[in-house]
Amino acid sequence: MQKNYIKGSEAVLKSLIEEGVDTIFGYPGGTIMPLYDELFNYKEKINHILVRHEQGAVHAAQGYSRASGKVGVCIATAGPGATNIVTGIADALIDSTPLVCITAQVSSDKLGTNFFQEADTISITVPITKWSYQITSADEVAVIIAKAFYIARTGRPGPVLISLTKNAQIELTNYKYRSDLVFNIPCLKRVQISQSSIKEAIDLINSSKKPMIIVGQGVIISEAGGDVIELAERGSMPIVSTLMGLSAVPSNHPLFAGNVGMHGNLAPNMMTQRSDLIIAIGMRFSDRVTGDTSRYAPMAKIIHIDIDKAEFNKTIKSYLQIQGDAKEVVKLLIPGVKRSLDSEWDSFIKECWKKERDLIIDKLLSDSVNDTVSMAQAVDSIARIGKGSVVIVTDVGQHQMFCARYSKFNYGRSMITSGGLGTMGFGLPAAIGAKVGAPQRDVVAILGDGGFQMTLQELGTIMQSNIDLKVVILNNSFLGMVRQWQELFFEGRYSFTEMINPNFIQISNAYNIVSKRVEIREELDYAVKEMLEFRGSYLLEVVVRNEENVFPMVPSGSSLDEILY
Amino acid sequence: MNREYIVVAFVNNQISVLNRITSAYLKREINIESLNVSESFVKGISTIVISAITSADTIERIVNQLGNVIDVLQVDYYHQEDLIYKEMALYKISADILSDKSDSDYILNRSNSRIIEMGKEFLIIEKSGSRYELEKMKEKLESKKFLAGYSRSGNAILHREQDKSILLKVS
Ligand SMILES: Cc1ncc(C[n+]2csc(CCOP(=O)(O)OP(=O)(O)O)c2C)c(N)n1
Repeated sequence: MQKNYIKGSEAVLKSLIEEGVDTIFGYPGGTIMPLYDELFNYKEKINHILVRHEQGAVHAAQGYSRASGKVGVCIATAGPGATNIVTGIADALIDSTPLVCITAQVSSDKLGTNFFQEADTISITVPITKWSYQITSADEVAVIIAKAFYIARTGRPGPVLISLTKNAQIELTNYKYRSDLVFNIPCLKRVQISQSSIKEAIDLINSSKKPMIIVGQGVIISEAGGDVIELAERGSMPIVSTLMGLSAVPSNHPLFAGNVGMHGNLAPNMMTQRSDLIIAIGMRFSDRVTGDTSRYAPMAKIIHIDIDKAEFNKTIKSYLQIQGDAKEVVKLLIPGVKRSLDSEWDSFIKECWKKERDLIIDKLLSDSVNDTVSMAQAVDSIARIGKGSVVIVTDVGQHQMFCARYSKFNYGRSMITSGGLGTMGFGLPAAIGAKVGAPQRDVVAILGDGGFQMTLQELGTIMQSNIDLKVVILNNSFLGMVRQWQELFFEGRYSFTEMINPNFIQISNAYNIVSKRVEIREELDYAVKEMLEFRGSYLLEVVVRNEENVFPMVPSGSSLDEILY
Repeated sequence: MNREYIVVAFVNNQISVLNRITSAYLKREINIESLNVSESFVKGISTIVISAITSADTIERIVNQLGNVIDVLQVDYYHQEDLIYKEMALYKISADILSDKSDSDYILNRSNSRIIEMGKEFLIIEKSGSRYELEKMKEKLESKKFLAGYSRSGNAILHREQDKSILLKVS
């Protein structure tokens, strides 16, 4: 047989190409130099995007994955390069994002000697990865890269870390990619969906009075949005969404009834407390969704559909659990479901919505206190002018909750946000990745002034790689969400939440990014329109009210019907 | 209510698997009371036996998490009474014990242990039993100032009921 000896580093790149990788986000350094040297020869085949900080690389890979549905890839050097991606790996695990992160490591004969830039990356990342592996010989490359991609994307997706020793990059190996490899991994085996549970679920649905469907990110991952709508239509059931499930179902669908959780809409939270049947699909009953678990959904039987059986009965006890891919399970439910609209339930939902409009939304969107801008108005403006077709990428804080509440989504994979970990600094680099992953779509990053400054160096990536990204900073000169909690729960003591900010326009100028600052309401729509129509990157700073709160709010530990507004 | 739970996992004999398993306990601030890793009857597959005191909900979550570890092939938890469950201990005892009639009678005849080495000054004794039994003998020897060294292993286990075995189900 013909032998094909190449270096381990080239084997890595060839394997990535075999896995369909077109883009990687990374940052070079001493230990990963052999891989970068080889990358020089592969410039045409792999688009490498040079970030400004490794945290930017991993968040960009996350954004890329969330926008495209593909596995995101980032590379970093040993030691500090590897520790700089830790935040993104933890974020990807809790938000089920498939990543392959390759970090370099000192040569295997130097392991454990505190060699220059040696950090024990495997141990550091054990609790925050789905799998990790240290490659110590070039011969392992082909199989391990294939296994890494298989694990990252199969079952409940998650991040995989590959630690690549320097000698493994340099050594020669007889490379052969094996696309026929079968990995026999017990926890990733396809489960047989229980037919009796399907039948039981159908009976429960058909005989329910006040049913509701809650969609989580699992519906997006398994691309089950259309099937969930069909199920809802056949069963005349309202659909509500978690933060991570947003955009799984178009916001303007008549059965879509809003968002659940801490800053969700009134209706879904009130519905949860009255419903007699909750069909939870691809969601995990996080504390931000349930409030006080002992008082959650007191009247409801819960059907929990998830691919990960570890989620069953973890925080909320369910009546029936169906393990399986969301799309497959929903498809099995559809034919048996037939149920007509319950007018009492329907009018309850409509009443809640009227109440929320009267008490909160209409007031917020129409009022013009001193002509200052509310975050809600800024997000609403982007939703209206963008006609619900842009991808919204957020950072973490008040603006994130306003984005969840006031954005409109016509297509899936349109809301990219850090849900489980709540990682400030996620927004800008994730938006870069999202634009690269979905180049045909308009991507708008909506950020707080605090979170923007955690990763603003990535404006350099936008400049260098010509990323056509719209960046909106909602500047309240506060760490707004923390300030809100201080106002509500710490007697207004604003302990270190006020921000003295730099001139964001000058910063934008320094990176050659066109920018504009808006301070009054009248100028908002015009500026948003100008931004969305601009070809190329654009930064819009919107000065918003300093001490605005996001309402409604279910305070931490309260029951879902104990709502502040 | 907290009680002892024994988790038995079959895992690929791979670097970092043990780390992943113990991290599921560490994460929840659960102390591991005893841990034993040994090769199972299948080459390349190890058996890990961990005992810890915790609640039913927590052990359920731990086992669910362990079930999602890529290199874990099978994992379950048991109560102490489900299992035949023994540890082994070595005792280093001063040879003075032989000069006292009742103490030497205890060690030679009544303690269910066996002498595995006999020196001028010390005897080494081996005993298997529950952790409680082993500790009890240790305390006894200690209180009489005979004990010069002590070491205990992790658990070896088998399921008590005839039709149940803790065996890897080969698929
Ligand atoms: C890395 C990180 N550090 C701290 C926090 C805690 N935190 C949550 S929201 C928030 C304030 C965010 O302020 P800003 O970015 O200005 O957004 P705003 O809430 O004003 O919209 C902070 C500090 C966090 N989520 N992530």
